[in-house]
Amino acid sequence: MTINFAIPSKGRLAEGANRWLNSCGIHITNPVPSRGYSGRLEGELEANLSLLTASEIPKKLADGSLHFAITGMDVVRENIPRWQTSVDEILRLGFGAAELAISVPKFWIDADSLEDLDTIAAQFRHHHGRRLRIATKYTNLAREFLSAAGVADYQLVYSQGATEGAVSNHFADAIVDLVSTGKTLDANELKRLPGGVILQSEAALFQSKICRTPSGAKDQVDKFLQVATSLRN
Amino acid sequence: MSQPNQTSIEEETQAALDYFLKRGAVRFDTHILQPAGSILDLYGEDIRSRAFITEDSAHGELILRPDFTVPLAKFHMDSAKEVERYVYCGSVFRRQWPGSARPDEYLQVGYEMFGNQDKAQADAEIFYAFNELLQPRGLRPSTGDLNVLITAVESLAATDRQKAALKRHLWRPAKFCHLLESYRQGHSLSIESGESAIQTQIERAGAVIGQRRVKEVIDNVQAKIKDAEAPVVDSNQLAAIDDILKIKGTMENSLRELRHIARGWKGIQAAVDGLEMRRNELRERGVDTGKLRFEANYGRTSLEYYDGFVFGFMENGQPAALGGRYDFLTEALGKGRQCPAVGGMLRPGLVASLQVGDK
Repeated sequence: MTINFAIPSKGRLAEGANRWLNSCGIHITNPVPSRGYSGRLEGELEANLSLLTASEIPKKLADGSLHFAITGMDVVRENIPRWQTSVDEILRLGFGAAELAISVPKFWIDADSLEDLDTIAAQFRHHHGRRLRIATKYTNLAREFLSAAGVADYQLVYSQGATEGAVSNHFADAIVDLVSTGKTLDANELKRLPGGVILQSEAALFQSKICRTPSGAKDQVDKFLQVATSLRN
Repeated sequence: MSQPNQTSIEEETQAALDYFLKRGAVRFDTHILQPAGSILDLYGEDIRSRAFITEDSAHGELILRPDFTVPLAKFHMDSAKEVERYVYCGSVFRRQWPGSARPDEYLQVGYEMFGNQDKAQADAEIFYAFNELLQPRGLRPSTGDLNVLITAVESLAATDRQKAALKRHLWRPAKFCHLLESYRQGHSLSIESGESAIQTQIERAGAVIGQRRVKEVIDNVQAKIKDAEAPVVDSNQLAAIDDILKIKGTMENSLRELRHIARGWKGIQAAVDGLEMRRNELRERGVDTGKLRFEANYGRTSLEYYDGFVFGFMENGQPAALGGRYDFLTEALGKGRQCPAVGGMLRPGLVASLQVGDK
C-alpha cells in the first residue's frame, strides 16, 4: 500500500505547495500540465498525488482517504468538526498567509469592537425587524467565534465567493472573509472590525489520524517528516 | 450506568403521559419537520450548530423538531383559548459533536400551561406536578428564579443602552460578567459630538452601503457618547448583583439572603416578594422549602429561554427534566402580545436509566 498525498489544484496554495515539496527534495511527476488531477511524488517521499480543491482536502483527511495533505489552516478548521480529533497539523509552511476577519462598512464609525457589533446587531433587529446579515463562506468558524464573543442577533448568509461585494450588492450587512492585503476590502467600502480577527491562517502540512501510515512506508515517512521539520528551523 | 431497555422507557413514557392527562392536560401533537423560520429567528444562529436543518423547494428551510415549546406556544396563541394545560410526547432532535455518547434523537414528555395570570400559583402547580412524579423515582429537584436577576438589571442606575445589553446577555454568564466589569470602570471616547459633526465624519469615512441607515449610525454614536459621559454604575449595586449571583443553598436560606440584599436596594423588593409568593404556594402543597435546593444563577446556561421561576432534575450531569416560566418567548412569538407561559419536559430515557441503576 502506498501513501496518499494531496495538494491544492490551483492558486497561491498550489504554487506554494509545489515549491515547498521541491525544497524537501520531492518532485511531482506525470500530471498532464494544467489538466491533470493526479500524479506521483518522487524523491524523498514516494506517494500517490491528488490535486484537489483546497476545501475538499479536509474531508478526505478526516475520512481517511488521504495520509497527508497541504492545504489552508482555515479550510481544515471550517470543514472538520472538532478537527483535532481526526487531523494533526504537523507544520505551518509560511505561505498562503491571510487573516479570517469580520469586516463592516467604513461609514459605520460607531463600530470599534465586537461589543459595538453586538449593540449594532440588536439595534438593527429592532429597527428592521430582522437579524443583521453577515455573509461568509466560513459559517462554522464565524458562528463559533461570534458565539464565544457574545454577539447575538445576527444571521449568517452563505456566500460562495466574491464575498467582499455582498454588502454593496445588498445581500448582507457585514462579512466574514479572508483578508490578505486589504485592498479588495477598501475598494468595496469595507473596513476590518477591531477585535474581529477570527484566525491567522496560512498553508500547513496535515496528517490524517484516521488513515495510518502503511508499515512498509514508515521509515520513509519518518525521514520526510524529519526533513520537513528541519526546514522550518 | 446500565442502559434501560425499550420496555422500561415505554413504561415511563406512558406513566408520565397518564399522569399529566389526569392533571387536566389536553394532548398536543405536531410534525417532526417544522418550518425553520420562527425557530431560527427566536434562538438565533447558535441553534444551527445544534439542530438538523434541511430544505425543500416547496417549503423552504425546515428543521427537525428541536423542541415542542415553540410550535405549542404558537398553537395556543392562535387558538381562542384562555387558560389551557397541554401534554405532548415525541422525539426531539439535536446534533452531537464527534465522540459524543449522547443520542441525537430522544423522547420528551412535556406538560405546559398557558394563560394563567396568577403566575406564582401556576409556577407552583407545574413544579409540584413534576416533583410528585419524579421524586419517588429518586430524582432531586433544583430551583432558581431568573426574575430576581432581571429585576436587578432593570433597576440598575445605568443608561438604557447598558441595561439593554445586560438583559440581552442574561443567558450568557461570561459575557454578562464582562459587561458588568466594563461598567465598573467606565471609558472615554474620542469622537466629536453634535449631529452635524457626526454626519461629516460618517461622510468622510466611506460610502453608504448595505441596509443600515446613516440615521442609525448617528443615533448610536450619540448613545455611545452618552454612555461614556454617564457616571460609572454605582459600585454598591454592582456588588449587590455579585451577591445575588452567589446565592446557593435551600430556598428558605436564599430567600433570607435576598431579603437582606433588598433592604439596601428597594428596586429588587418586588422580585423578592414574587419568590416569596412561590415559596408560600409550594409550602401549601406540602413541599419542604427548607430542604428544596435553590440557586439564583440556576437556569442561565442550559435553559436559555426561561425568564422567571425555573427548575431541573439532573441525572448523571444531564437534565432528566427541566422547566420554568418563559413569558419572553411567548411575547416574542406573539410580536408583543402577552401570554403567561410555564411548563417543563422530562426525558423518559434518562428517568428509566435511573430506575435500572437503582436495582
